Amino acid sequence: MIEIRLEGISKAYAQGAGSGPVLEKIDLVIEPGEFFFLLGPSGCGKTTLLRILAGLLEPTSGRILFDGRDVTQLAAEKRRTAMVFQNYALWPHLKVIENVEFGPQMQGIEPARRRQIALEKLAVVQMEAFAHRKPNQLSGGQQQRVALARALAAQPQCLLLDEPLSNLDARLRAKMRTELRRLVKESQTTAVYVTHDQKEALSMADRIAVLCGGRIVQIGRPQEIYQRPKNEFVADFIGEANFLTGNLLQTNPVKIRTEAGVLASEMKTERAAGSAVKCCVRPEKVQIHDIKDFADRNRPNLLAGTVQSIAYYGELSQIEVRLNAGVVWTVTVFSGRAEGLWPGAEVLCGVNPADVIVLEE
Amino acid sequence: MERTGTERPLWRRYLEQADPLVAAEVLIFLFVGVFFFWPLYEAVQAGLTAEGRFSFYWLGRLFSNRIVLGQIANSFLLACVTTALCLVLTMPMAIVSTRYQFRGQGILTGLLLVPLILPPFVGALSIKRYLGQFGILNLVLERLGVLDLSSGRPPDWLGSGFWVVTVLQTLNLFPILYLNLSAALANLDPAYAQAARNLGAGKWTVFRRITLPLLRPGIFAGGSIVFIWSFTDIGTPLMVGYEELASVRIFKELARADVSGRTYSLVLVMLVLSVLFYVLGKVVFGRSSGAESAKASTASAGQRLGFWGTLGAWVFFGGVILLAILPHIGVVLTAVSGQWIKTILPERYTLDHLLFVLRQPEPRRAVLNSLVYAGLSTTLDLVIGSAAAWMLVRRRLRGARVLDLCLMLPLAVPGVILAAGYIAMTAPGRLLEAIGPMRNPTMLLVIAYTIRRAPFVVRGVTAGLQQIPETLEQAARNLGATAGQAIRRITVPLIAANLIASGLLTFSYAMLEVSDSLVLAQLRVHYPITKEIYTQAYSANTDAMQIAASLGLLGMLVLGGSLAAAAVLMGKRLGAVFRA
Repeated sequence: MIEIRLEGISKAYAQGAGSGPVLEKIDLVIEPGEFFFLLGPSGCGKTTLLRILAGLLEPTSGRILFDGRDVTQLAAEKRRTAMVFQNYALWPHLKVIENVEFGPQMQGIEPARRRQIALEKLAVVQMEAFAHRKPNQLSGGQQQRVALARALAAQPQCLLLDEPLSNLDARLRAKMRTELRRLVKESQTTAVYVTHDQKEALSMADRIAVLCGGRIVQIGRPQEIYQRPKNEFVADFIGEANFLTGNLLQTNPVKIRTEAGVLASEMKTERAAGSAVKCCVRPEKVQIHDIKDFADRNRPNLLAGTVQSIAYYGELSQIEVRLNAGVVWTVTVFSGRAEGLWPGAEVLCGVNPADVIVLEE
Repeated sequence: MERTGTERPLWRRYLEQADPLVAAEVLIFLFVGVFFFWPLYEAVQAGLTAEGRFSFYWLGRLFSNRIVLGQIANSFLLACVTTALCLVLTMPMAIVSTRYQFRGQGILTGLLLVPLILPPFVGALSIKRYLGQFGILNLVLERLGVLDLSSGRPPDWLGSGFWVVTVLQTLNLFPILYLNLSAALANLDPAYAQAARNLGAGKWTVFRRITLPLLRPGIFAGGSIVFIWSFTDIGTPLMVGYEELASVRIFKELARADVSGRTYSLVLVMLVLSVLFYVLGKVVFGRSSGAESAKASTASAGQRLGFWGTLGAWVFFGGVILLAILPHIGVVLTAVSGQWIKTILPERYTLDHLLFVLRQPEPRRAVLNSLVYAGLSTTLDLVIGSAAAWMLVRRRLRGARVLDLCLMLPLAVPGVILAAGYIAMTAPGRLLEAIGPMRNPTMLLVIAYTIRRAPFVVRGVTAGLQQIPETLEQAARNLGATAGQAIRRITVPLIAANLIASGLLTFSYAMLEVSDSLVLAQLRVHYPITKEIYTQAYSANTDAMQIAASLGLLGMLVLGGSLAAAAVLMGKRLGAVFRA
């Protein structure tokens, strides 16, 4: 278990016209034993950052510290980071067991002992029965496990995972999330996981760093990131969000005049009254009321609108409601609740003040 | 303490800081510069020099010589016909083998490559036996009652020899085009054709409008090699006895003691024409269609052929293979024939000629020489080719593209032209006279073979490296392997098939190489097999043909032996080698 500290890591590629920096001054501390996620859309620099950690790429500037030791100039093979590659990178000419033995072998561990380590790790991922197969005789999920076993067998200081589940089909991916988290946590290794899949990040991570355009936008526990996104990008990238812009009427408690009506929020803000703000509400936090049920239409956090469409997803349904001033909100409800609604029905959308998120930026 | 740095000489500090890869790159550049560009420069210069001054004198004489112009035209025609024949022959083969599946497909497509390692030069030895006035063809026709050999003059199928040369070259060179076409076809996303079918195009329209244009780079890649090879081949025409070619003229003049500007002016013209045709072909055919960058969206699973389809495929492929190895069967029969006059098959068989060849010191030495030359050039090629390919694919080193281009250029420059350059470079009184043909051309022969085959090794290894994701190497580094360990444990085993295929191709080519061998080996002690065969075939000996054929057989045996050894070493993977 090591602590990983990144200080001002930047990366720019010299070649190619008009290519800006891939990473800009990344500062980050990953705690010992933490399962840390780098989350962002493609091209945000997350894989580049992971490769810099592995030593496969050199940062243009900045330092990498493992437990306070500067490893920025250390060759990839001396870093003792073990990576699970997106395409697994299992060597097709070596058997499963030989793949897994490779790390211990490079550390000079004697043959009997390294075979033992390899078999142990294969047992951990339940692949010991396949030890003597070649990688191309395995399914995607099995290859994924072997890749993990190979990384674990190297007894690394930290484990690096580059979208390891992205090549699996949806069902298997969902199943592997829980299992992968269990395996990584049991290994008691500091682990860094790169993904663009917000569900993966939310369900598996101890902490998440959201990246955009080569910068870290927000760091926090999954709940923090989801419930208190800092800006529109995070709110939109992680889960879905309904946005409203308006002016701050008062600051304590917060009240915002938006184009669709007045919204109260329990969040605190440092901005002055009168300044323009943006806020958002998660689709599942919106309640839909029949318009006849409410006499007091001027109550805050109650916005009138018309149902535009209803999409049925099984247990849940998604309703699009057109609010005043043409703003369209998405509302997620249990399908039973949607039964009395039809396109064109007039409704009221209610939001609990605790669920109105005032964005910082 | 501070002084230690300044005490060491400057060159040593440079050396210590140098990246070994950059050093290797510089070495390869040096090699190509000295043994490719310099000889060409020497030959060109000699062709443009008269009485010690720059002059167009020799070129002017050449262009007023109708005989030479006719020979150049013949060479051009020969190359055109051979390339066209190859294309017509291989297009249906490539389509059948990539679009359909049938029983025994692997064996047949594997056998298709056999002609590649059986040089037409050797096969040509038996061509008179087949096509002469009292040759096998006429005798068979007589037996069938079509011909009557006793009355009148039986037809002479050889004619001037032009057509025989084209056919022999076609049967030898078609695998090159076949390999390129089938690779190009296999890489073609079937969705392109499906989209056209979907929009209402018929099969023929799809082929003409979609498939053929997309195949252009493949056609160029194979076609240009065939064209330039045929344009300047000397082995087959010499053996068939068709000498009205510019290449044969160059060869004959180079063999003289006093090679003058007259010869080099012809060398210059042929060099310019070769490069011109290459560039022209590249412009017309070679432009990338962009199709190869698109990954196939659907797997192109071949359609299974039924009984009649399979039979048809067997007859077609089998027929071509049989035709291609027929000359070599003739060579084997000639080698072991005791008496063979005016009969379809030999009347008597004997091992005398083979034993004679094995007992005589000259032929034995020739076989040994060939083994040494071929072994050395293969090793050198693998080292240079792999290093260059690795620089190009993995390190994207500065100058790697130029290096790649330099190593590819020998494709556009014929062997006999380069050999002429070596003759000019090592002329008496020149700096490199010591490695010239009259002293000891071992080094020159090895280098000539190496340079001429380098493009194939670079391409072969490059293809291999491009097929293995870089992450496989990175994963090894990540788990603690050094750069060297990663290359040894991961990269080399994964591209082994490519390395061995390239090595085999280089080796078999060098074993029976003709152009450089005939020109550069001028003292008998240095003769490789091919020159010995040529010498024996043209000797006044009564059984000259049998002895030459025995040597040819010996050459093929050595070749077969090395292939078999490779097969044993590689086990099942040999099949993969020929697909690489």
